[in-house]
Amino acid sequence: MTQEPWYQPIGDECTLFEAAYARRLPVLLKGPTGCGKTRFVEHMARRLGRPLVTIACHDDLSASDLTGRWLLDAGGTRWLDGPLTTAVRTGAICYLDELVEARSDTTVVIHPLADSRRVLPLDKCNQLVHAHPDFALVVSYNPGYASHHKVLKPSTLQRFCGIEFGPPEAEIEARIVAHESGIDPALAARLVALGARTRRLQGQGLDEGASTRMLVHAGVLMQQGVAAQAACRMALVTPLTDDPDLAQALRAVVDATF
Amino acid sequence: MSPMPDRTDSTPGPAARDWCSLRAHLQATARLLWDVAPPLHAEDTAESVRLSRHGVTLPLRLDAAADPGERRDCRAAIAHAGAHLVHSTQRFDPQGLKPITMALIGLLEDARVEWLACRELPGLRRLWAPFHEIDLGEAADFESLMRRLSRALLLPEAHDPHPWVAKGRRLFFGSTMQGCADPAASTPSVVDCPPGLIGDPASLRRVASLLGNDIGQMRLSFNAKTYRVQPTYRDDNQWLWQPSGAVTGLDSTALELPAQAHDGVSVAASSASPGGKQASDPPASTAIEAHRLDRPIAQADPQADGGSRQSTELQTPVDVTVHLYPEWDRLICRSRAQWCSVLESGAAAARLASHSSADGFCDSRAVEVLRMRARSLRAWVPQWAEQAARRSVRQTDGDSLDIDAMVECGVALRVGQRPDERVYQGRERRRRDSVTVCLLDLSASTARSAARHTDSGLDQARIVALAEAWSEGSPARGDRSACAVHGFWSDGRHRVHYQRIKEIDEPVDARVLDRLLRLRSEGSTRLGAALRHASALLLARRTPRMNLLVISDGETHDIDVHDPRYLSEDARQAVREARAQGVAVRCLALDPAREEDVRAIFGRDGYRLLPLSGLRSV
Repeated sequence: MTQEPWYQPIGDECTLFEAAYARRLPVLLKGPTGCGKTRFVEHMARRLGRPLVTIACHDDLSASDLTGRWLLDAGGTRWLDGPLTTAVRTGAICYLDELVEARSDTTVVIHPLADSRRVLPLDKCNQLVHAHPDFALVVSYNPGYASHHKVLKPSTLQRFCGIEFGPPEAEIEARIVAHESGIDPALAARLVALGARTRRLQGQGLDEGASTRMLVHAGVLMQQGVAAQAACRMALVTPLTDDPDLAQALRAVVDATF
Repeated sequence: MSPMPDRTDSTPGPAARDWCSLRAHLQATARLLWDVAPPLHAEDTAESVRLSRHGVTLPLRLDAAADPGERRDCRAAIAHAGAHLVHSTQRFDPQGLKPITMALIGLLEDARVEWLACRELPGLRRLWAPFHEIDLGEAADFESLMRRLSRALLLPEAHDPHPWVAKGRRLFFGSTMQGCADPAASTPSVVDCPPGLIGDPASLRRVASLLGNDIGQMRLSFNAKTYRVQPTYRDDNQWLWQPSGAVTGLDSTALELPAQAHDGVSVAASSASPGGKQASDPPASTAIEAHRLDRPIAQADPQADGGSRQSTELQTPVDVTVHLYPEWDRLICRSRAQWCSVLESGAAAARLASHSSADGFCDSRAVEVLRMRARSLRAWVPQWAEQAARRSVRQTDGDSLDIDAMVECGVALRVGQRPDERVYQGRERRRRDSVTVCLLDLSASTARSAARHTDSGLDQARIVALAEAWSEGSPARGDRSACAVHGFWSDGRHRVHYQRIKEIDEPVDARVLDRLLRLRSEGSTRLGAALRHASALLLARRTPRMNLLVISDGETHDIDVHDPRYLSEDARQAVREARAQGVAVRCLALDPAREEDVRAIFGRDGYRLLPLSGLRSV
């Protein structure tokens, strides 16, 4: 990564993250989809001058996928570090995206790294890797759509400091949308107002309202020459719902906005 | 508060469904546009849109609810009514006002709130504009001039040569119009120039009086009895007026023209507001506040509450536990907290015992018949999908090589040991631990036999529950699956009886069969409360897979609810909430005739009709 990713702070999250990193405390980022968690980590890694290793968690992710495995080559067996082990050895920031999606037995692997021990046991090659002094662990999850059987165990959660993300204030969100998409600030403000309206239906037909990322997508389409209403239908209405009545209501508010 | 009679909901068939669809669309639109949730009603006899403490009443024929044109008209009406709910914060005192002045105040207030609405949502002007198409060449009677003034105030680009319209426009937009718009075109800029009158509703009265005076000078007749607000998407403005009493925020000394100023006006009903005011309506501000979502609703009256608030005073047996659950009120689009009392009783509850035969267990022949019929359905019971895809390693065959096993194999070969030949891996869909609750509808309606079925609904429910219970632990269902059988019936919101018939870890033995056979149909169907309780029981177990199989005829009803859609929509909300928490909810519909109702609650893919063939084969 050669250029620092643009990030618009919405509060004191940068300061908090720097404080946690200064003492190498693991950080949990909590917030709805598309609110900027991943961008924030990329920004902070660049700002702190550390490489970033990102791992997207899923329910088929095994401990070996994180730590590494033995391979065969012409000379015999060879150990290959997994992404987590690589980050631990090199002092990178390891970002486990949507940790809640990983199985609980997999998440236990990070426990020794997330407390005062800061070690990674590699039982398959009988090693105990001490974390590089610059290594830091960051995880994220979205409590909004994490179902009841997909929750992080208290033993995992209580190892982390948390930073909560939510939809930014309208003015800040408009600035983000305008910057990311390149559209006029007034148009971005209108898009943001539309996004805020969709969030009113959260829990009443919509699991989540339009995220900042969706608004940026709409803005990008507009910047590409697509008419505002068509862009919003494509980037917001269609992905948000399959319910015909709800979709018609969303189209109506899009038409009313522009 | 007693709910407004909603005749539309009691009408079965496609028309009622179209109205339900339209209402869902309009409610979502109101929330999206204005963050308001007024109850919506349709009346084919209504002459115009009406905004009252009961919500918004639309003049709509049910069989036209699916018509795209009607839907657009209703959307325009809801957008306008919502603008009133948000921007019309003051009520007007009708004392001493002439009907013509009241009609003009209504028009100016409509224009004011629409101007404010369009400032926020400029696209609304496109929605309303088609309703303002007029022929400028038609005779300039009073109603025509009112339509022309409405158009001139909504559409900045509209040009109208009539001097009265131009005056109204000038008075409405005030000095701002001269300051920021082209005087020749008389076109105010709606974005940059907030006109003075729009931010000053108290002046509407003065302007209306001036314009009313001009109407009198023109000798145009006005009949308050026949006057209807135009265009049709606008409400009749009845709610703008205080029934009596003090002026709120208005200048009570505002200019009223002397009587001779209206000499030329034919006033048919000087004491009545245009359209005829209903004295029984409370102050409109009360109604509006109730529809604003930032207001608490805790003090709201129960929805058709025929029961008493005595959930904590119930005389319940010691083995019955009381659980309080919220209930969704479709009229206010909010949940009423702690609204229903679910009385949960264990397998040894009095209800079962009271129906037991003298010798304890049912006769063995009945049990055997039940067993046979349930077995015939075992292959049919719903296969709960979404099995977990897991990688299976160290297999004798598979899609790819298992690297770890290969390494160990290579190591073993090099050291001269016999290698393990299981070096493949693949992906298999393994069923995770699961718990299923079969929730039986034990209400009185299940005593009937559905069309083409010879068994009663309850008999069918028994058989399916048993088939589901017998499938627990089978390879087809996952080795660690478990099943409970529960039932419910209700007697008002304070008595939703919830009966545990088979516990999760209980084997299907003669005792369970006996309990199943002794069940009987009675009471009503408050499905939402039972669903919430079953979901809570499932969630408490924290298993990876939580399944809730509702076996019901889909006929929601209770003695204290007279709105046919109320419980159905509550059940729909309960299903939605349970699914959001990870509970897979499905329904087995017992009555094909009520398939539409079941689909409305559980969704298109959330139910199945009981197969006739499976039951007939035994």
